[in-house]
Amino acid sequence: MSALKRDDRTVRRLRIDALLRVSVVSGGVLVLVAIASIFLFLIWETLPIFRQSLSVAEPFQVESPKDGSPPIQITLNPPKLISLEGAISAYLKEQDLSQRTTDTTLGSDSSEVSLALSTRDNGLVAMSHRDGRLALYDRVDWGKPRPFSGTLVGEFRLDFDPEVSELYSGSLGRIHVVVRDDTRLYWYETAALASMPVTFELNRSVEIDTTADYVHILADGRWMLVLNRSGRYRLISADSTAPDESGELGNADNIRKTIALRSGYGLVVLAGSGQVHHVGLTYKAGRPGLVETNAWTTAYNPRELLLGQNRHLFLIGAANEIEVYNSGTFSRSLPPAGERIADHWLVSPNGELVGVNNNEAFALESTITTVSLMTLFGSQVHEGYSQADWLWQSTGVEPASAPKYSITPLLLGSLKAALYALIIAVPLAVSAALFTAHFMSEGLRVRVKPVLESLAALPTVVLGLIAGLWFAPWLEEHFLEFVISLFLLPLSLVLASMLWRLSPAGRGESRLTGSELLLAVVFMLASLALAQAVAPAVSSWLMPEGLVSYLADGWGLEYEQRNAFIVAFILGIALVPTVYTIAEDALFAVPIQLREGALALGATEWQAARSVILPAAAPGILSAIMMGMARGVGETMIVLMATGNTPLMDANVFTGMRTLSATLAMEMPEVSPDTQHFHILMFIALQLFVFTFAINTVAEWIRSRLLRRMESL
Amino acid sequence: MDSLSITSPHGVTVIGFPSSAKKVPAWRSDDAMMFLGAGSVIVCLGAVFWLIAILVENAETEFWPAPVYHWVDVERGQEFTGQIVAKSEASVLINRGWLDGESNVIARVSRSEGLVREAPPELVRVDHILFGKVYGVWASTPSGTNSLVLADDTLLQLDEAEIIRWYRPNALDRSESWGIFIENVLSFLFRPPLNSSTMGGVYPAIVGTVVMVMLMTLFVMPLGVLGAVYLHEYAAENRLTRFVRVGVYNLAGIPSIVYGVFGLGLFVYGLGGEIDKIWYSEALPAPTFGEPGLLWAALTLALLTLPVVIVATEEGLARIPVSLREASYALGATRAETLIKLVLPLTLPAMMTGLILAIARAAGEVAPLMLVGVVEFAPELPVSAEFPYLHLDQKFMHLGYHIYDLGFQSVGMEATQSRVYATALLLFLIVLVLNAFAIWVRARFARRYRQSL
Repeated sequence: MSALKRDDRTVRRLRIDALLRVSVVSGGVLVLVAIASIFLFLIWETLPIFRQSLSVAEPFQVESPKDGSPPIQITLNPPKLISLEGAISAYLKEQDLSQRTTDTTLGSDSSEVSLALSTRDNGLVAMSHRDGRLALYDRVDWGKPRPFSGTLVGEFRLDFDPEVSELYSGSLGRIHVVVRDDTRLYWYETAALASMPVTFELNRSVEIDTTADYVHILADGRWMLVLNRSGRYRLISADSTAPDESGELGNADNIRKTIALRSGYGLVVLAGSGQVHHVGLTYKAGRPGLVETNAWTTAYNPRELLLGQNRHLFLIGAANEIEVYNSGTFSRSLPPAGERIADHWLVSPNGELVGVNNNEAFALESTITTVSLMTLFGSQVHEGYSQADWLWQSTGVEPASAPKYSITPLLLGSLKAALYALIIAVPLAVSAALFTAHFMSEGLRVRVKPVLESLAALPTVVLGLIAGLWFAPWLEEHFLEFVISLFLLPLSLVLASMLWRLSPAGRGESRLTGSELLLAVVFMLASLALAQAVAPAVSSWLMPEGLVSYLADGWGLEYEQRNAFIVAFILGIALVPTVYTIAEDALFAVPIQLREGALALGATEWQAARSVILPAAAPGILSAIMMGMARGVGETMIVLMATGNTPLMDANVFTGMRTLSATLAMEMPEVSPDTQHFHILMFIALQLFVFTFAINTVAEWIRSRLLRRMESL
Repeated sequence: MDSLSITSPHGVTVIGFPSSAKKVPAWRSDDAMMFLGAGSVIVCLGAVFWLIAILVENAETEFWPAPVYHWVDVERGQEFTGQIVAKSEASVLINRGWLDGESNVIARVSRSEGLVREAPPELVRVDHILFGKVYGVWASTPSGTNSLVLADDTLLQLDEAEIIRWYRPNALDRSESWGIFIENVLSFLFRPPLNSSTMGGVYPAIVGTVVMVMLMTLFVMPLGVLGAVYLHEYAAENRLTRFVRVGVYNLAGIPSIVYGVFGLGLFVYGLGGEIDKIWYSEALPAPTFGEPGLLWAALTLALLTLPVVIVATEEGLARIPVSLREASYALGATRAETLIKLVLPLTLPAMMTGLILAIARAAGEVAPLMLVGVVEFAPELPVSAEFPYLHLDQKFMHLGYHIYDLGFQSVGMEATQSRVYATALLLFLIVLVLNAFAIWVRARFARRYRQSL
């Protein structure tokens, strides 16, 4: 009976044992999975920025011009090709100037009209009639049952048969229209669009001396570019008193197509037998000129250059080779778009690339990102810039300029902050560690060490507050006092040591017991007071104009109030406990025999420390510095609050920087998920993760190897 | 020649023959190096006192009743009345209080030759619900209504119900000053911010911080202990386990903002978005859990502090001697019984240490919270008497973020500067006390172990 009972109990106990085992193991594995998921998640969220695809959607029937004349526009809903010629005539439902709604038929003979579409605003159309009428339509809807409809916003009558060469919508709703006859170009500018009907004003009228094959308005209506096929150009200023500039695009001949970039400061030129040139408007000594900033050569002879959505330029070859350029900054070949070869390629009003083959059309479904590893880390020529540069500007300054994602300035900003902070933190932490490990009495050591270690828990937001609101303004006024203190402090300690050695207390002592610390404190306070007393005099002698102008005039250095110097000291304080803890552990683990051996051989305490203990613990100190580095690179609040957060790329101590982590803190709350910006921020987070994890792992490996070796000694 | 012998504490005896009986040199560079080391320790410790001193100095005007001055600049013909906010060599910043038609309450008074300062005892400071601080003199009107003559000689009628309190800062004696000081401290701790954070307290931020940290504790403690027990007791001691352990330890070194990004991506957009689709689909597209909130902040910080708890608990597990376990097994106890009845109770202090360190770390952390749930101002507390009492989906205020927002993001920075420092001081003290407590717990139990084992 009792045996049976015991058996029951045993079974139950064993069951509990097994149950606990299962639950602990599954729980533990769950924890590990949760932790591993951080890494996997960041990778997963980063991948979309590198994903490229191009595929052909199901072809659909499209209503096309019956005489096979080339289409000028396509609408997808309803699917319809629009051409100016043949049986299909274009209608405009216009709200004319007296607010009546009438339909205007553009006659069936297309030679009666010329039509210009704006590349910057696809709802804007300018139309000229043979009879001299020039009309401007806004909010044109290409998808209406009639070929298209829009609102007539302005009308103008000329005394010749005009042909529209360029239509450009500038800032403040000002629209520029360039029309031509056989001998002259007429550049009109409207008043702001808001005041309907808009009035046209003749800006310039110039004679066409070379052939004006391509006309573009640049720089928000300040310049008109007239370019011919062989690359000769003229820049005509809106200001009639200013002289024209002329020049030649050296490498471009036989220009076949030009597309103005949305920024209005550059164009992409398709020339020769497949060269693509990215040309920017730049000023040299106040005079504008066109400069080629980038060029590619394609392996095939492209027949078409089109501007699609997201500032993509599509370059299309005869056999459906497709390449994509992002605003002229990089190129990427896409996988072949299928077997179907299109007669025409068009861009729909939504910016989709559509191939047309007789009555059949097919849209290209593309996932193209505007970044690649090369552009994220390398320099790029951006719209409106003449040189390649590393820029981080995730939200464009003006709507027309593309966001610029170069991580390099952020990366260097993080390194700048961390390295300057380490310059302060490492000497402080390592000498403090050496002192506590080998020169301090054991009783004092066990008290001081935990206190120093617990500094790691100081809220960094508090340190950042002090740095940004107190230290930065203070330093600007007391810079010299601070620098003088930096020199006087060590000096005062040397003096204190002399006094101590000479006093009865220090005679024959080799270690400090605690009371000497008081002496050091007194001397340090005295040196601070001295610095404070001396600084004003030195300051008025050395820099009577003030620190900022002294640095600017004497050294050519810029001074920002929140700068790397501030970060170095405040972040340095935050890094001290990290470096100290590990360095102290390593130094303290050096076996006592090594030190005693050295002392017995006649070395002094410091000689023993320098030539025996420090080399023995060197790997530990290295790992301490590495961990400090990882902490410094990842620190967010201090750099966020103590710098101006401008993504600069310089090593100047007196300017700020923008770090990876601060960028995450500032931009992540604003960005909407599943955008390219979001994924790039995820990529930044992944870099921080990998960098710190790798550094910490290596440091930990070095440290544990060292400690094992020490134990075996 | 006399021989010299030294015996080390380890029993090694070295005999040497000094070549000459030279005197010990009076001073060697060793001593300087030693003092430089001592100086480093002092600088590190001094930095803490320096921080506290700055915080206290700048937070003082938030609590202690400062005198109200009346400045007359004879040269420029200007007059100012107000309390000093900040001083520098060339000028003082003062808070002039509410004045009709003046948008900025802060003014700069330059220290010049002809500046006369006086502190008339009849000057009154009124804390008003709508106007904030108002300085002036009570008008001697017969009807007894509360009208105040302001610095620009205009008359301001104040409704008694809207006056929070009033006093004469220049006519206070010591006990009255202390009374106002205590009143200010209490109002700072227990009242919500008023008048765009120029008055009132930081009560919602304190509650937000505490609730979030407690919620985090609920997540992190079971997980952390489970993880540590698994790593130390159940996982086979092989290369993989060692690798995993190093990985877990190194997670403590991952920047906190990365956890924030992870929390935002996975918890808020991923998990929260799914929850919204399943249970709150009628509210869509307005997100319920699919946006930053209390629950996600707590979960994110739980992940962040997980390594802290695991490390501390494993340390405690490792400290229990094998002999104790063996004794338990020898008595026939199963592994589960040994764990539950012997090992875990003995590890409790280590877990406590881990818990306190986790709380201290979480209380001071701001960067990840900016992504997953804090806001600058949340009028409703995350806990309330309304069902479901704890509002997991709500955004909350946090002391650390309050500092960042008031000090760096808001417009009227000078008017709230003393409050920023006061909040920082409060946060600093909380974290300091928690850490000191953790050190104390660790030291105390370490001693008890040594005695009992």
